[in-house]
Amino acid sequence: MMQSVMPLILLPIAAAIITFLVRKSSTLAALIAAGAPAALAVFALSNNLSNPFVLLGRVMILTTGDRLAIVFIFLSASATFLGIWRTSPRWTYYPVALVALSAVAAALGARQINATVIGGRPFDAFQYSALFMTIAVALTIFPLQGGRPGVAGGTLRYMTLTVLALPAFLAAAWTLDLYSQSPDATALAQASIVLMLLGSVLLLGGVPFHSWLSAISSESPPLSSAFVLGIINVGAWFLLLDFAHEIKVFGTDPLTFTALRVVGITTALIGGLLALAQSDFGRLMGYAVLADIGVALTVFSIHTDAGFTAALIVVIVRTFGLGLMSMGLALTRQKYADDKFDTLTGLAWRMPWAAVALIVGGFSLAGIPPFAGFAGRWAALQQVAYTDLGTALALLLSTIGVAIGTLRGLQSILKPIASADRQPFRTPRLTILLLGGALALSVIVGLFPDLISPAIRQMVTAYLGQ
Amino acid sequence: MIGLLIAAGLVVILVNWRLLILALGVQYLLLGLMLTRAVPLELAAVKALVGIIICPVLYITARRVKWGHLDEDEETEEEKPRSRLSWLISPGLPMRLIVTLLGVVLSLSLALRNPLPIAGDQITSRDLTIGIFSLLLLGLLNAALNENPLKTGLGVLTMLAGFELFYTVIEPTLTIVGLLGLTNLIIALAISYLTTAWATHPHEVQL
Repeated sequence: MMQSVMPLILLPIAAAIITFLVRKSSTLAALIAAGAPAALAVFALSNNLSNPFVLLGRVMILTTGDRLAIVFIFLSASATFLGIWRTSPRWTYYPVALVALSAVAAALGARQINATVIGGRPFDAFQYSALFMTIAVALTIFPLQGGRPGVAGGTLRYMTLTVLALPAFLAAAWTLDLYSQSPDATALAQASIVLMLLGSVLLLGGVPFHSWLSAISSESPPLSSAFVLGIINVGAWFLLLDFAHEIKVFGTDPLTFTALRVVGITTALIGGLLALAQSDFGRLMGYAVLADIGVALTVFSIHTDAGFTAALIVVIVRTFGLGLMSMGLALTRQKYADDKFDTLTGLAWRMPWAAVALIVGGFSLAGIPPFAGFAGRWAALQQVAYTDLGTALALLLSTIGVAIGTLRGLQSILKPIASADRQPFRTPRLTILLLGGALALSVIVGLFPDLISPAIRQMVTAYLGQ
Repeated sequence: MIGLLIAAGLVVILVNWRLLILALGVQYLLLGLMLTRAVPLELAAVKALVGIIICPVLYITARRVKWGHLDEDEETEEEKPRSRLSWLISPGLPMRLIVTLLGVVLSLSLALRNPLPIAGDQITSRDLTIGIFSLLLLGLLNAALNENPLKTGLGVLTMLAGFELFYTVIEPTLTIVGLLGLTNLIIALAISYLTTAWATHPHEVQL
């Protein structure tokens, strides 16, 4: 039992119960919430966990690729919880977030040992993945709203658009099932591909279903947004990789990759252009992530091992920029009414650490050297530059858009203020330590991308070589 | 089936939260009843039961937030003379009525032309297809036309109900039905949470 996916599904739920019981001590709850996924990630890294596990009457098996994906997601969740502990003392959603984490693990672990055993129904596991992912999405609505009175628009949009992915995926499973019984009916294959594409774009937040991204980034508690954009969204990416590999019709048809390419380029361009026009750090973060999603989709659509690797590097290094920027936002929201550039004029003099986190986070999301995001953009540009100059130019424009948006913010926060107002707000040492660690990691990954790329290549090989 | 269409239509047309939740409850009951034509009784009962659990959750929330009547609304409403039917007829009613009728006609036309081959006999397939298309379309309209979390949420739940009418027939396994039910319940709780937040004035909270 312990050598299966079971601990990764059930132990976060156990941790959720404990954090609920100790909720009055926010430090203890945060440390348990951060410690449990970190310990499980180490456990998953050092064990194969490939034994079968029966959940709800279905046999589930964890593949190597999904195991490594869960390790990354759990480590990111642990870092996010630490960030929440230091920046948002009134955040009380650890139990819900841990159960959502368990649902993501179940979504990625919902694989059958041998599809043909299940009465010729090879798409059973796929339905379970979609259902568990939707449960994870629905659970994150609570921390995303965050108990802020009178504010619900962004979270409502997120719920409406991402929940719509479930019918699309389940209908795709049905048409695939029909297609497996009548392989000559190519219309069924086409319908299933369209439905899967629709579900994937809805879940990932690609254009035209992107309106929730900027809305939650400006409305919701920053680290709750980071949880959704850096963990749930990344989980959805791994699910897409699973689908592309396991469902041959979807993973081999040129329609899939042409459509993903069009959506990817449009998303990257719109994200970059809208980021350029923002005058608010929260919305800037949302559009920077949108541009990042577009870049990842574009290189994913190249449909080569190197393309998949580049897409995963983009998705994984996003966590650094997103984490830093959301921590910076969380710190500034403790002292300022909103995230507008005008409101944060002179921030560098009063909250230097928050200012550095915002700017480095923004530049990292834009893919500017020497920060972590550069590793992803460089890998992406390498894939498209020699084959498609137009696409390379589009990706470059999206990078420039996010970078200019961040520079406009930098201009405001560096503006000199009257010396009487220069009295800095105190930032606790532990928070500085955490921010400093995240900044150092971002620079190290940006300067030495080879530190993470072999692990990502191993992940892609595990996915594609299964 | 006609009852289901009327209930789904009322969820789009009405704005009174009491009636909306009642219409949703009736919609779930009729959906369960319709499902008995194609799936075992216990599965249809699970579907109806999930709906019956969702309605009190939403009812309690709506009651807690004074049925969506914010204090400011009450102040402005007091100045206007109110007609006897003002609780039922509200601004935008003709538009919602037209949109609903168009939605029903469109789904009827689509369903009659392309009935989904999901049940044993043709008549059941046709009726189920009408129910599926109507719920999906009316749910989508309701979610798209409104900004308040309760109405939008009811749209999302109606859409999911329409999809489940289809999916329970083609995949009548208790595990899938159970997981879909759990998803519905979590979404209902989320709607409830968002509605409470939306209806709470910032000044009511001590900062």
